[in-house]
Amino acid sequence: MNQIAGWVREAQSGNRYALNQLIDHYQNDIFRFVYYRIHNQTDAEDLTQDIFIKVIKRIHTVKDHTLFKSWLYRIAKNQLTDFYRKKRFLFFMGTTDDVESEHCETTEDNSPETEVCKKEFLIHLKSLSKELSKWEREIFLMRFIDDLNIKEIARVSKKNENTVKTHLYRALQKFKKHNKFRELLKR
Amino acid sequence: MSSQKSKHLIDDTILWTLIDPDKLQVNERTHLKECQICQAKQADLKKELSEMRQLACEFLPKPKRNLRPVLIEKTRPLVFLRVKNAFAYALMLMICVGGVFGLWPTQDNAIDQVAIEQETHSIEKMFQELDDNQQNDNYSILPFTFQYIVVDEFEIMANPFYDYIFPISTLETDDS
Repeated sequence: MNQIAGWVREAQSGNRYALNQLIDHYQNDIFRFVYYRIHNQTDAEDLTQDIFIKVIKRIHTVKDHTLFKSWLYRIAKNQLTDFYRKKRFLFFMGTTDDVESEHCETTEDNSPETEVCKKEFLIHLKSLSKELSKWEREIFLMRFIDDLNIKEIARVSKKNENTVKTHLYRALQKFKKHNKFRELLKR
Repeated sequence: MSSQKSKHLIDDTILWTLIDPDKLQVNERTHLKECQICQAKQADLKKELSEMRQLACEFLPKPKRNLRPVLIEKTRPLVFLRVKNAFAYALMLMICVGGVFGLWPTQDNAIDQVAIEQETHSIEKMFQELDDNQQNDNYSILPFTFQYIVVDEFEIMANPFYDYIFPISTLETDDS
């Protein structure tokens, strides 16, 4: 954590190496954060790049270097909101197929078994996501997919910690009832 | 087995142990420490959730390109070039503002000016001709050769009778 705060400080003073280190450290996390919300690889790559462009432009505004992670995820979350807004507008104008993309690419050289497993996992994750409310889903994914702690989630979502815990509790209750998904995870 | 130990934690409480362990009451915390069944329930749930995260990481497709944006250094022009540009922009702005508010003579204005000058010149010329005619007494009724035949002074005017009929002298004196 101290190392990250150091990189942030260095990046703010114009050290490009530190900035690259920061981006390299978080790029997979941010890509995962985006991908499991939009389920489209190309869009996720574009969005991740956009997020880092914003980070580069605004890194000088970070006051508390230890809170960089929350700040970064907050940018990612806002960028996702903008993406959905734009997509909804395009859907309304009739220039895009659907607000939420349903397809998932299987272009990687995985074994058929892995592909089946992946497909199954994504189907169940989406099915669970549909059962959760917007904030339950958001907080559940942040906690158990992105591995953010309660304080970080509260900062990212700008919500009270108790509210975050309540949403998380409700999401876990629904997760517990999702037996098919749990069976897959137990395998 | 004590009664406290036999009273297992309910599922909701086990959920809370994953979210906020500090929220548990002292007896619940003590029970969880001692009861293997409740510990197993908690561990199962924890394992499922960590498995979910692990699979999410595993099934995350590899990005097809580098996600780090390429930083290109901006080349800043030399200072004097920027100053020159500033002057050029200021000059363009002045020309535009002058053009809009009519501070610069346009072609129409120039034509008007020439027409006015020509008109003034022709009026001045006309007045000059009138003055010249006045001086040369070109307004005499008779042609120039006959003017000397007639009496030098208009004595007729001095005649009170004629003056009574045509009060020219009075008119002349009034005019003068």
